[in-house]
Amino acid sequence: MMDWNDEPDRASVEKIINHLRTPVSLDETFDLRVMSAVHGVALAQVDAQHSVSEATEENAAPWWRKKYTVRLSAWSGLALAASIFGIMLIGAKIISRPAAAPVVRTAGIQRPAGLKTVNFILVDESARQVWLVGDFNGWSKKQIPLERAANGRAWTVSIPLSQGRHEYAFIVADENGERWVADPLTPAVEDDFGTTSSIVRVEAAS
Amino acid sequence: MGHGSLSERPDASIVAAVLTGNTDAYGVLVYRYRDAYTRFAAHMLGSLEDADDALQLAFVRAFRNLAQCRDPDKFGSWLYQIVVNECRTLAARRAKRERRMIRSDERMNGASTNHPANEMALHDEIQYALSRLEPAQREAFLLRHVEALSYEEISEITGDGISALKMRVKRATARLRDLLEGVVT
Repeated sequence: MMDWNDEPDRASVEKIINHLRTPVSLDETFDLRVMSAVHGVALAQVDAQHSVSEATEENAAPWWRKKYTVRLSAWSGLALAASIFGIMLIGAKIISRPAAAPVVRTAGIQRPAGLKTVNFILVDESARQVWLVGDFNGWSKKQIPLERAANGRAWTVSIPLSQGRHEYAFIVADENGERWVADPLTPAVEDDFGTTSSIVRVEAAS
Repeated sequence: MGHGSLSERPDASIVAAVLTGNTDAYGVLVYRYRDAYTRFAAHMLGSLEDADDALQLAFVRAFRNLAQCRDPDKFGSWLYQIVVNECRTLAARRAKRERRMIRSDERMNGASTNHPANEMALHDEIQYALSRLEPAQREAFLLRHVEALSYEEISEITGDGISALKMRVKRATARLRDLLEGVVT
């Protein structure tokens, strides 16, 4: 029983409440925006776990596998470099060099064992076409198109990726042409030319 | 959304799926609770844009802390606590801003062009009266009468005692009646 039922003017209160009970809906892109953010959090968590495990491995490593920072003065640095160069010259004469392994370049996405499906989402309602590019496909532009979601504002694609760290970005084509877009939801990295890309770290497939 | 049979499963099962790495499964929970909590947030904050912010923050916070949901069968109640807290935080942060009334624009279901002008005016009057309530009273009133929760449920969500909640609801009801006297008959 409602609290105002004993009151003489409960009809007016009921009218207020009924009015307030009118359903209210959010933008139809709400789910996609939340899930974009959630995937960003999930990727960041994976990234953090990876960093922790790397630090743990580093700490557990024997002394000869640990990384050390050595500070040298300019003169002592030059002397050390000259020594190393000399040792290398001698070594090159003594040790016969094995034949270099052939370099094999694979077009498209690499597919070694232990792949894990990764979802990529970009919300951009002005885009006419979106592609995914990354080190996993040699940054080749038109190999991995994203599909427009039913609401027309978000673009998604799921691809299998091997374990480890990958850099990627989106190419967005709209009425102004094509532009490079880093994923706003994942950690970014800038190359020597000032281009920003994104980082995804893939855990081992379970 | 295309979540297949997952959408039929209870909250606890979906929470378990998310915690074992199926991030997409969380979309089922978002879809399941989005509309149910939007109305409360919109009325609490007086703006659909703010409600959108609060709900988005709440869903992301819930995902981030999902492992701390001690009773996954009651995920909805746990999420409600987070939504209420996000609304309180946003309301406090924006208290100095001009209090905005919910606009009866095309983004509001049931308040579109089908409503006659006097209904629109009534809607705005009620929203304005609601915005004049103290936040704690508005929160208790909305949860009790608009969202139809029991006092026990409200107490669990807000952390407030039942006696205090009853008092707030009573005062909010009386205040609304006074503010809307002559408008709602």
